[in-house]
Amino acid sequence: MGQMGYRMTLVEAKQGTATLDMTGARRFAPPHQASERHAMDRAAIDSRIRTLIEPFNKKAVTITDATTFAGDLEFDSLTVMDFVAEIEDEFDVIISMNQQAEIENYGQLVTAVGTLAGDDA
Amino acid sequence: MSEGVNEADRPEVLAGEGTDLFSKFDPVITMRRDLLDSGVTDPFNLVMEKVLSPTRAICNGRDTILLGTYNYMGMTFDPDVVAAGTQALAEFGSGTTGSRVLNGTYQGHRECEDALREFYGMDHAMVFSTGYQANLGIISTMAGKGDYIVLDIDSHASIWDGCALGNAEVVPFKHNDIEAMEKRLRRIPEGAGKLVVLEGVYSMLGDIAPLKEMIAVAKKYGAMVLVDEAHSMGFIGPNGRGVAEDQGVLDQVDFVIGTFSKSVGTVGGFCVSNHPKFEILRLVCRPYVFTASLPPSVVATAATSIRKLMHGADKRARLWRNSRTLHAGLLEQGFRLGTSETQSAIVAVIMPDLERGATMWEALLREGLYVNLARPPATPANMTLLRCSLCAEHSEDEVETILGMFQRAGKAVGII
Ligand SMILES: Cc1ncc(COP(=O)(O)O)c(C=O)c1O
Repeated sequence: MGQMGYRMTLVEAKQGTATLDMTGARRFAPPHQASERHAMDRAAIDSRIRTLIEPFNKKAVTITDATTFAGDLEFDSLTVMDFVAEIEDEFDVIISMNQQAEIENYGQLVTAVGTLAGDDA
Repeated sequence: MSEGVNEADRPEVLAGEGTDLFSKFDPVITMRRDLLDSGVTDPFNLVMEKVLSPTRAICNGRDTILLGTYNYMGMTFDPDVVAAGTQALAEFGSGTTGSRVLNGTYQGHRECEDALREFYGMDHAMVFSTGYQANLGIISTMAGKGDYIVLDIDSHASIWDGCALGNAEVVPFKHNDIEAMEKRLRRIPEGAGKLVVLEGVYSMLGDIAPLKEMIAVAKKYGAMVLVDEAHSMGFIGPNGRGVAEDQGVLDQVDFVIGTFSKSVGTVGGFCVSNHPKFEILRLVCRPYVFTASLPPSVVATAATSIRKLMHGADKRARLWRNSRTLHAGLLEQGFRLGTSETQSAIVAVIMPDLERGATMWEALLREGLYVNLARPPATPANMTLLRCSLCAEHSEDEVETILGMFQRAGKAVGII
């Protein structure tokens, strides 16, 4: 049948072992180390992401830096894709799956976006 | 999860946390058992006891119409194809016992690649042991560290696994969304290599890609383009070369990936290309080098079948007629389908949920009809689908019979 893993399994999400991405991207190579020299203001990025995440936070979980996407927010793969696309559009960046694989919680996402967006600035 | 009588049979493995390396599969085990506990036949454990023709087999002792085998052109019992395989088996033996780059390239492998080059009108063809390996090999080898792969989120497992095997940055975009694809290409850092990966027909819903527009965008950003045409060979495009040919952009495609496991009617995979440096891939593509080549009988059947597909106008017409009849008939009966009009030879019937999907699947099997059950997480938007793939060899009567079976089963299960 071979269809398992055509996409990703929710199994990973339910177990809380998955990172932001659930398409098996954990096997991908680590992301580039981007420079943080021009990092955007963290508080500003945080508030923009907080607004973006609202419609995806179905259970109105209180979001802290430690909130995990797969575990606490119960994001499945489709939600991850839509949410990542919103952030990419908002900040005009690419968050490749390799990079997503390193992002497990909210705080890490804010840091990553700061680095990526700052790089371009 | 149901309670009571089944409780005692449950294996211990589900009890503890981190019992061993199998523990991560517990949720799948539970999902599967819940489904079987509801009393349905295991949809993923069907045995074809006898195969009578491309469209009929004996399953559970019953004569069954096959409507989920991707045997689009019905080549599996073609007398010329079978004769070519039989002859090669007798003359060249049962297997090559070797890699394509060592002792595993026989005359038949060359002839098979010649047939592919002719079929696609391209300069180069490389035959892999499966289509899965063709995607695995080409994608992981072409896109290296620092390069970017931009791909449709609904891509086949073999494409995802090709991404996972390599070291490139992987950037998916929303299914068939040209704008989403363009945004991602635009944001890729200057100077990075880019590979855009698309499919002609997406096999879950049977919908086709707007390749003309997408390839124009890919080229605008200087990307190389790979198109998987697994589900279009032989019956889409003026020469059956696929969706890219149909939309007039085949000359813009750098790599066409295909398989022998559908229209060609055997097993194997391939990549065809016009790139002048293409042949070097035979030395650097690991899923090509580090595995044994296809048996002589298989490449002989493939080559014969491919050459016959070049002249398959009748079959092609029958396949489209069958697809349109089934699509229109199911819509009329009130089923929800993956596409509003016939786009390919796949008709995906959308089920309300996994449980009714499995019940419907079983009801159809009892009627004497085999379709493909696709369920989350393999499906887009976590849908449960009954995927039907038509065959040129289904008779008009058979398609009518199939429609009757769907109507009875659909009413019994309460879907229509
Ligand atoms: C789109 C697509 N690509 C590749 C493959 C793999 O082909 P094969 O069966 O030859 O491994 C399939 C079929 O399973 C497919 O549907």
